[in-house]
Amino acid sequence: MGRRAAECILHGIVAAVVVMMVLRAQRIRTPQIRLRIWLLAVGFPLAGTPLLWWLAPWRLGEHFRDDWSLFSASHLSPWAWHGVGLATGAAWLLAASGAALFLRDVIPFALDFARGRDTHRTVTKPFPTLSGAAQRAAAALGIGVPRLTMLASKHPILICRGLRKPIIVASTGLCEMLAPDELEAAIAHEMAHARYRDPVLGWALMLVRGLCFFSPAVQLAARAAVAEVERRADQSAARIVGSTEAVVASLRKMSGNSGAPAHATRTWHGFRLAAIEERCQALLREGQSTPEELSPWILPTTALGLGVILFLTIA
Amino acid sequence: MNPDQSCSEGKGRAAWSTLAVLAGVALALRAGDAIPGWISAVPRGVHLCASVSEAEALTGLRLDKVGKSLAGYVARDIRATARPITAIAMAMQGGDDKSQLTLFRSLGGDIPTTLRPPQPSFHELTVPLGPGLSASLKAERYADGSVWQDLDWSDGTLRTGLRFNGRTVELLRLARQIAGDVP
Repeated sequence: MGRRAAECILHGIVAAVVVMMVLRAQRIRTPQIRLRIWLLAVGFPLAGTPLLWWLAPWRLGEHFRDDWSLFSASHLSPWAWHGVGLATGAAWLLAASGAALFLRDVIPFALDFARGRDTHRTVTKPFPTLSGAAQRAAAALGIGVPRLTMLASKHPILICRGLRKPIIVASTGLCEMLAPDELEAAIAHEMAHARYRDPVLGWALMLVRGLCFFSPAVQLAARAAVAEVERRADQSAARIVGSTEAVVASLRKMSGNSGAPAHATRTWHGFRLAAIEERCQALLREGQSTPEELSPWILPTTALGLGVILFLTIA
Repeated sequence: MNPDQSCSEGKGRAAWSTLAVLAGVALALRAGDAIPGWISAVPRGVHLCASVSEAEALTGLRLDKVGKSLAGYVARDIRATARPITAIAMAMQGGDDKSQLTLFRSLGGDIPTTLRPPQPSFHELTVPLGPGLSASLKAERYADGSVWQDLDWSDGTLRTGLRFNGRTVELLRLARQIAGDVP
């Protein structure tokens, strides 16, 4: 069991490195394509590695390790410290860092979730500005208008949720805080989430992270995938409203960030602010660029090559 | 340059860069696999074991009885191969800190050269170890000029070797004891 977990960790690292290098080498900027490639790094250790165990159990034998493998952790056996092999020590350290990364994200998420359930919220009729923005964004994306729920709250709340049918939840505080063009941009962002069924992807990624909580590479790759999901929604919103500035302004206002440099804040909330500011900067840099085309074979080639490399990589 | 040409060039560059990334990662993994072996001078396929029991577990060979014969010698480096021949090489230090002894044992074939690198010998003879059992004794000169005795015998499918830098009398005493102890 320990050796299999170690192989999951090792495969996660190799997959993440390959994905990162392919993205850099191909200079891929479109979030949609970057997301697909990052999902390879998330999915391989969870599905590909067990598939290799099932299809080729002989991979783990000494013959394959010594004669065929590209990398076998057992070949690190000459290095040990107080009787603990380098490979074993590294596996434990990596597993601990993976668990720390998972807890760092899941604890605030669980606390927010629990707080949301406990709070009684009053639902009111959506403001006409909100309904109008949703209709325009839906028309631009070619989807039906999802259910809009308006909460009577002074806090700015705007989320897209719902696994089977997307629901856009907004608050009265949000409509009062944002200027009309910013509200339009914010709603367009959430409509893009609804268009791509991102709540389903978000839960799937959380499930994968939970299953591979010990793999730091899976945790980081899942984070990167979530960042691409957000960037994809940002770019869609910018295209729908025809203004990157409106999207950036709405993001900054909603996060309570007035545009201060990201490094100025280092708190827990500061971490999220830094991520939002990064998104803003990326959006301002790339503008409303049209998505680049992905050569149809890049994804299968990367997946196949990665599969071969992981087949020859053994913990 | 027409757009089709530029597009196909772009695809070609993308293909090469993807292949280069995959090849680079494969090479890095291969180097990472080999580095510990290079640093510790352990060839691929040879396992450096932390204890005799680890080597026994890897190969299925038993050394517990041999250990009794070699009392006074302390193991400082244990290596084993599981394929193609299961074999163990155990380098030991004598109590006088000068004599060095390496015990080799393999099952079903010659001791692999990855465990016992061949050395030029300048003298060879056959010596009796016990009833119906004889060994080949070679005197070998190493690159640093030191002279070692190399003794080798087989008992059925079990092959045993000793390399010793001390006196021949001591080597034969050890060999006879080990040969007598073989289960």
